[in-house]
Amino acid sequence: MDVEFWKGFWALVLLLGCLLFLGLSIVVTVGGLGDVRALFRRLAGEKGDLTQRRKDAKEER
Amino acid sequence: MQALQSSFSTLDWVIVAVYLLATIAIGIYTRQYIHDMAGYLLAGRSLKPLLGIATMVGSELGLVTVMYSAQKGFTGGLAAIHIGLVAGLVTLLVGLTGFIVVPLREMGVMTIPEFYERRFSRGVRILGGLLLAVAGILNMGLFLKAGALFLTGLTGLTDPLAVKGVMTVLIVIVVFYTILGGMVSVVLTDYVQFVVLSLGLLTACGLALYRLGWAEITETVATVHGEAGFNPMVEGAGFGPSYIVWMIYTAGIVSCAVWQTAVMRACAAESTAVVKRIYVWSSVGFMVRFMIPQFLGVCALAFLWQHPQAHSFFFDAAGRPIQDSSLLALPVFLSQILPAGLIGLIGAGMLAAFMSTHDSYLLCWASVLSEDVINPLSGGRMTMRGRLLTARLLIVLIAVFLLIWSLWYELGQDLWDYMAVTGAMYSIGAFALLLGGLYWKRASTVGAYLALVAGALALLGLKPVQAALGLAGEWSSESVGLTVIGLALGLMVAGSLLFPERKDGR
Repeated sequence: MDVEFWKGFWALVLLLGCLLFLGLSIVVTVGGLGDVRALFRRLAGEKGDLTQRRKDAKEER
Repeated sequence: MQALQSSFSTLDWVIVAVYLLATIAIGIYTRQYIHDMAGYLLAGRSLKPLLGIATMVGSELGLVTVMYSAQKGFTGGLAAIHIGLVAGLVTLLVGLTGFIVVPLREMGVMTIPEFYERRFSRGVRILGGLLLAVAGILNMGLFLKAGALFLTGLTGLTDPLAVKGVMTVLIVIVVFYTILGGMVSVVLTDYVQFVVLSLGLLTACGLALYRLGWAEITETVATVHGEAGFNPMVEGAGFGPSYIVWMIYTAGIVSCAVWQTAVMRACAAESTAVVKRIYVWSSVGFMVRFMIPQFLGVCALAFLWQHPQAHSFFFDAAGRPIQDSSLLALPVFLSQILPAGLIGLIGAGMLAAFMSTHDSYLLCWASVLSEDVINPLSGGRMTMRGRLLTARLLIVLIAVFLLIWSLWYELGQDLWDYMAVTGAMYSIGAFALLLGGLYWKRASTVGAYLALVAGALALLGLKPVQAALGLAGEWSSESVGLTVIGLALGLMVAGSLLFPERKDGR
């Protein structure tokens, strides 16, 4: 495999890699917003449960 | 070098300041959601795929990754891109097969040392945890130096005192929001940083290619490196067949399936199906995080070779890249080709990447020390409050060590090779234990101890260590690494066969 082969090979690898990464970046940027909202909803739910449990424990005492 | 004027302007400093303030605000806001270690370390195991990918790639696409990859592109030419290609292909394979990561997620462990205890013994957990933390902390020991060089090159800030001051301020900010928010703030800032940096670096690539042209780039690589600048099988530019195998292990398997910070994200995923999906899609990110900066490093080579004012700073009389200057090549190059505004955005993204890598690693090593060394040593009697407090205190102590190490240690080799060796001190033993522990019923505690100790011998791959032992120039870091892998695996097998686990578990 001579130098000309490698020049073409790396050009192809770079082009494909950049295109794939651009696509992934766009998908993750847009879709990730939904995941951020879901993360906060779930954590807020757990925080609410914990607050309620503490309140119940205080009332029992 | 003094004659090269950076295009970093007041607007760019404003962009950087706004970004950093927003990062602090996230740390303060997310504090209310942390009430136990699962919340602090694993974002409550709530990570969905896209956020998982963003945080995995965002954390691993750090400023230091960009700097050492660019250095490799500068000193090795286009042949350096084999490292990124190998990383992507191996990560894809791990995602398709679930090799190591799925069994780990199924066990529901929080850290790899926790796996050591469940599979082998508490003693293995403590030794493994200690080696992991020491290697990990050494591994990130030069991050601050890399960050300082980036800042100097990009902004044209030449006063060493000003640079050190800025680095100190940055690590204080990192410690601040890591202590406050744990994994939740890490995940969120990684997401923002992923967005800014991924789009910013792709833009930089486009600009570099437009400015230089593919023909000029390849012609310069041929002039400086010859065939070795294109063909990674040729040994001239620091690569060769044994180096490629070493990269399959280091940039491939270790980076995605053995390195604690990547595995922590697997442990934080919602389910094993999500783990595999994260890895398959992250393989693109794992490939590109090396590949794009390596290509930018090659572009820096082409630009600086032609530049009359920079040539003698970056190349010796024989036309070879000077190693001590090579880390500065990328930021100086970017300072010359990026317009004002864009340079600030990329600078902010890179500084955010610097901080996000620091926060992930600080959190990771502090949690390993508190959960896998200190807590087990105390017989598991630490309270939740005590564990959280210990982790936070360790974050501060590690940050102080990093400041001192970055100022004192003399590199003596490419930064990537230093990190491959220090990472190997932990990863070789860990790889043997994961392979044996997950896939071989007869792997025993004695075999695990022997493999862990053998793995630490990878330290011999560091040039200053070789020089201290009178072995300078004798062994390449890849030959040391590959030999130690063979030794660790061999000792795992031999130790397990000679000293099998007793039926009563002892």
